[in-house]
Amino acid sequence: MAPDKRMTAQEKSKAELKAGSLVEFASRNRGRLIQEAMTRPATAWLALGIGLMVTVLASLGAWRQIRSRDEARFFNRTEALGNGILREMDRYAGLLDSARALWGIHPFVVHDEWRTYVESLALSNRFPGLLALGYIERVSSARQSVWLEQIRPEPSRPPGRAAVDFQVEPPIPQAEHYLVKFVEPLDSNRPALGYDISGEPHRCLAAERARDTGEATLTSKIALVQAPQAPGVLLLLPVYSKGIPPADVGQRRASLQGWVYAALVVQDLWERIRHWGGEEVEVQIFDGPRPDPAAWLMQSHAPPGPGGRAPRPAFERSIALNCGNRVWTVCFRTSPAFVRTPWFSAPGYVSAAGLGMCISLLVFGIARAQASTQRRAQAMAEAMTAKLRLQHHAMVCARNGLFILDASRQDCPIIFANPAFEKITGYSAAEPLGDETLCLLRDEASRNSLPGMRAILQGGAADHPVVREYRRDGAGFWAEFRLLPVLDERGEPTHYLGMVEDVTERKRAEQQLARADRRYHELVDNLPVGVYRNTPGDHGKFQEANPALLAMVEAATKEELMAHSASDFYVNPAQRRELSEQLLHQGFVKDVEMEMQTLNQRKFWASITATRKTDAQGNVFFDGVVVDITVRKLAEESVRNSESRLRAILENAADGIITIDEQGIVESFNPAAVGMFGYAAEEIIGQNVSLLMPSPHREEHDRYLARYGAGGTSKVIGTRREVMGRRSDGSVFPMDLSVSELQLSGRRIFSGIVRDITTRKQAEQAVKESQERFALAVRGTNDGIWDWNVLTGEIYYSPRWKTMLGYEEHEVENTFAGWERLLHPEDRLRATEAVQAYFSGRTENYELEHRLRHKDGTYRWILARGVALRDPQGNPLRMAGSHVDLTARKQAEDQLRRACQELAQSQTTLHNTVKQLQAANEKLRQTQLQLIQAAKMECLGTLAAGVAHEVKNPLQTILVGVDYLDGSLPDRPGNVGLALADMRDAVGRANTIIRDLLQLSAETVFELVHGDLNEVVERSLRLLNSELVSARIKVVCDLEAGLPPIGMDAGKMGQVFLNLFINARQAMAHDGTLRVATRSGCSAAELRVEESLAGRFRPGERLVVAEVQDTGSGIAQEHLARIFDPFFTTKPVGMGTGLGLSIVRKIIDLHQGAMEVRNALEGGVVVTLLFRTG
Amino acid sequence: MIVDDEAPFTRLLKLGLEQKGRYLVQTENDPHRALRAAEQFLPDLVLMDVMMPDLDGGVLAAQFQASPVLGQVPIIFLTAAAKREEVRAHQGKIGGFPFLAKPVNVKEITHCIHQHLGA
Repeated sequence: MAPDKRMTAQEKSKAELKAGSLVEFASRNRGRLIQEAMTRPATAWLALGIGLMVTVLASLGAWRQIRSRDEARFFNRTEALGNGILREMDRYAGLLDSARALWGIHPFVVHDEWRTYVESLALSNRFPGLLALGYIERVSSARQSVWLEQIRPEPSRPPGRAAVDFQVEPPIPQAEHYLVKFVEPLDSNRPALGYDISGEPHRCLAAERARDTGEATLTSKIALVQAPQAPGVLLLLPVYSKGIPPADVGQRRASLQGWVYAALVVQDLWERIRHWGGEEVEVQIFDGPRPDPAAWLMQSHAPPGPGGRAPRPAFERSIALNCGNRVWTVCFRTSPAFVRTPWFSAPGYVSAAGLGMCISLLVFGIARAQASTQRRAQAMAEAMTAKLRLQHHAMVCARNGLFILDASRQDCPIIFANPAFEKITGYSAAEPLGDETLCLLRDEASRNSLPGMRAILQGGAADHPVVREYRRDGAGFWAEFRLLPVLDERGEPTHYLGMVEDVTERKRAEQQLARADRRYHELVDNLPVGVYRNTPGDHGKFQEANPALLAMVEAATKEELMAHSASDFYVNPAQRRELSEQLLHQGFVKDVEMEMQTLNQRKFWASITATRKTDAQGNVFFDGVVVDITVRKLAEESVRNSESRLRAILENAADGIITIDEQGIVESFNPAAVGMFGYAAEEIIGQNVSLLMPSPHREEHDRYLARYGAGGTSKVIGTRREVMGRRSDGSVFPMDLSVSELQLSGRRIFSGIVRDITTRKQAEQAVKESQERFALAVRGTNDGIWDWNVLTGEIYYSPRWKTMLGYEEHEVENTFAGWERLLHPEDRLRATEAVQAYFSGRTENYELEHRLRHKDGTYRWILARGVALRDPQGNPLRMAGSHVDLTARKQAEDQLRRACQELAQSQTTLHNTVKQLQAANEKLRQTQLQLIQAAKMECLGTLAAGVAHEVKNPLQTILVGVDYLDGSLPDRPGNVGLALADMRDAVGRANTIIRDLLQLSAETVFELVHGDLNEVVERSLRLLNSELVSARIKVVCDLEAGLPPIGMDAGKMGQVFLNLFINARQAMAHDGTLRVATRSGCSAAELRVEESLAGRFRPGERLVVAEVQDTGSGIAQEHLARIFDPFFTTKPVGMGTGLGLSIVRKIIDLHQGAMEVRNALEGGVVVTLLFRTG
Repeated sequence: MIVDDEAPFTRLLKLGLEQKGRYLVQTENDPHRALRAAEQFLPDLVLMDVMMPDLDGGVLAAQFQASPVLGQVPIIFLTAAAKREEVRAHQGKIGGFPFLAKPVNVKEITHCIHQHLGA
């Protein structure tokens, strides 16, 4: 493009023409492009058509062959599946046939035998879908009730299994009933038991057809009793009493005994059938000769949802199967899995077709691509042309002069220039071009700058220096040049794009601005006040400041100032915030006085005047002036201070201060004087001071003043006197007055200081009266008085003090030792300690009861009370108090105390006696109870021993008889066996009772050996372990290690625990918890037993306790009193003899232990046993 | 041979043992006639009640052992006075004789017989 462009520029100066030629070129080429594009797609479409035709024909042939092969495969799969179904049904028929053989062995098959048989089959593994295997017995209406009687007591049911509840359903009156007699597995099929199928047409029909044909027969689709929601069938096989099916129908009907049957869910058979081809074929089985949707029995695949549609299968087929005297319709269809496989199995045909198709498509694609490339190229050329034209137009219309230099030539000639260039420089576009390189730079100055321009061109640096330039007509102007190099691949400039702008106006404006700026700065910098500009807010920064401001804040440079926030210069930064807010709000502040600080923390006062400004960018800032007013501020301050000090003295003085002039007129009257005289300051100022005086001074005062003024003397001035003052209400009060005279500004004034002394006068009076009263009181009281000077040790004892002890005044010396000598020796220590305690401040009051020796030699009880006078450090200086004679009171107290003690003693004795009586009574009652129990046992024992022998012989006879009967009936019916077992059981039970009775009464040897109770407990638990485990009872043992040994008969003791554990186990049905604990201790609390139980032993004796607790239902309240009675039991017949606890009680009594049975708070029974140790 | 004053018992035990098909049983309800009957019958083993009216089983057993023909015949006592547990506790022997506590079933009796006949 570059030569092209150059040519255009040289030959045609008008740029429009160049753009026009490009458009022409594009339109010339268009015709050829369209021609090529038209021929190519036709070839592409033809190739595609032929390719597709060949492919279609080839695949049609392949598809036919594959389909016939698949049809054969489908047929084979369906045949295999049909056979599979028949084989499965035969297996079930065979199962029933073998079950029927039980009746061939003997005709009275019982449920147990049936169960054993069925369990041996492992049904769930080998016969999926088989819910139940049962036996239906034919029962005539007349025999139905008898039959039910026979069937109800289910023979020899295994323990733990609930009784079979037999109920005939539905109850229909008719000649014969077909009742379900056995069914297994019983748990899941219980509802079927007793079901009368003669009342249900589908089952009945099949049963009768089976009876008549003698073959295994299926019912139609029915809802099974066990699983009503799954479609099911019964397979029935008749059982005849003669074993083999009789020959004709009549005989068969007569000899029918019942049916064995299997209840099937046909759906579950699928699992066994599917491997015959179930992955590829979907199977549906319908009951009956037609595929009736209501009669479906099995479907191998879930049917499509209500909205969906199954895809059309490749093949479908239905066959009729005859199984179990019924016709089943089996529908087959191919599954999606079947369809997926075959197409890949014909590689030759498919790959040929595919290859044909690929080649056609490839040819077609190439042709299409060629055409579209041509179209895109043309569109691009048109767009480029339009863009170029627009850019050219922009260059022509530009206000700046634009030009292009050819850098490949040494002289860099201008090869293009626009009209604006011409206008600026005065040269036409053609003129400056050619040989004269940069010819417009022709004056001397410009020539000097020419090497600079060269340097720019060679270095390729983009710069735009402003230079002085001259037009073609010689007029000078300022020009700004910009030069941009156009670089080739090597980074060498090929051309320079240039721009020139006339900046003369701008240059002039700049120069004016610079001059104005300089003047302004000179002005501001020389101002003696601080001038600044800063930004708002707490952290506002200084932007401008004059030297005066820098000096004011002691900043060396502007930068130092700018590094700080404006608020740093305020002693109280909050003031800066206030100032800033005020400025923002109202726009200006004027003469605001602030305490400021310099960068060196020196404080100064400043007056600030500032205004808010907003620049073009919307930034807000403040311009202000700061004047240092510290000197003025300090002067003001000092004046204010001295005035306020004086006023404070006057205002706060406790004494009244009044000043008057020479005429006696009041000039000032302070608040204390106001309080004293009751006049307000305003009332009295300007009045004559004589108002404040009672007569006669009131009338005479003016005269005193006049006389003094005339050079006389005054009694008042310079001294202090007690005088009387007069209040506003006319009352008179005593006061101290001192008057002084002073000269103020050549004037003579008098100041008087007055003090109200009413209170002092009153206090003086009160003290005088108090002293008199005290002297009187001391004389009147009967107490002795003492007054001790601690420092000297001298004590004043009043006369009464001494007579109280029978001494004359001179017989006791007035010292501390005088008192000490009279002290009772036992009280001496206590007395001195009391004094010390009081002195040291440990006791609040000094109060001491002590004995002092009377002159007659006896001791008197004295109560001394006193109080000390202390110095500021708390040291006692003096102490005074009184003595009161307590002797009479003390004696009375002693008597009372003695009487009280005696009373308390007799009460304790009485209390003990009552306790002993109670204990004796309780012991008596216990003994009585034990006697009654013992008598009961003895009587019973005697009886038992006699009875045992007489009962055991008949029992023996019965037992042998039972054994004999048992042996003599080898093939007895089940009921007989049951009867014999019951009899044997009864004999065993009778024997157990007798054995327990004997044990209760037997005078067996009783041997006490020291042993560990824990061992016995553990042994007993071991004996019962299997029983407890089978009842799922949890055993919790809390046996104290190192239990002290007790004297016991280990055998008997074992029996005790066995009995208790058996009771506990029987009290808990299942899943209970048996707790066994042993511990030792010496008190009821330690042993955690009832006081009444431990009370049967000596107090403090070491005892061992054993506790057995169950979580059963506990003992009913009304039974608690009888639990130890022989034969009392709450267990069902056969579960217990009622002797267990009696035996336990007896053994515990033999051990001289104690026993208690109670209901635990948390439920269950707690048995507590107590034994002595050693 | 069974010696017991309980006629129904002896009758039924005889039937019971004979039912097993391997015993020939004679019963005797009068203890006084027992010795003579035994000497005629010559049993392989004698089952004897301990407590019989007039004559104690122990005395009778002594007579049997004293007899020249019966001296080696084992005697098993049957007693209503003892408890099953006691029998086990004494290894089934009292006074040198094995014994069974009534009531006892035929199976236990036959077991005991087998033990003492060694057959």
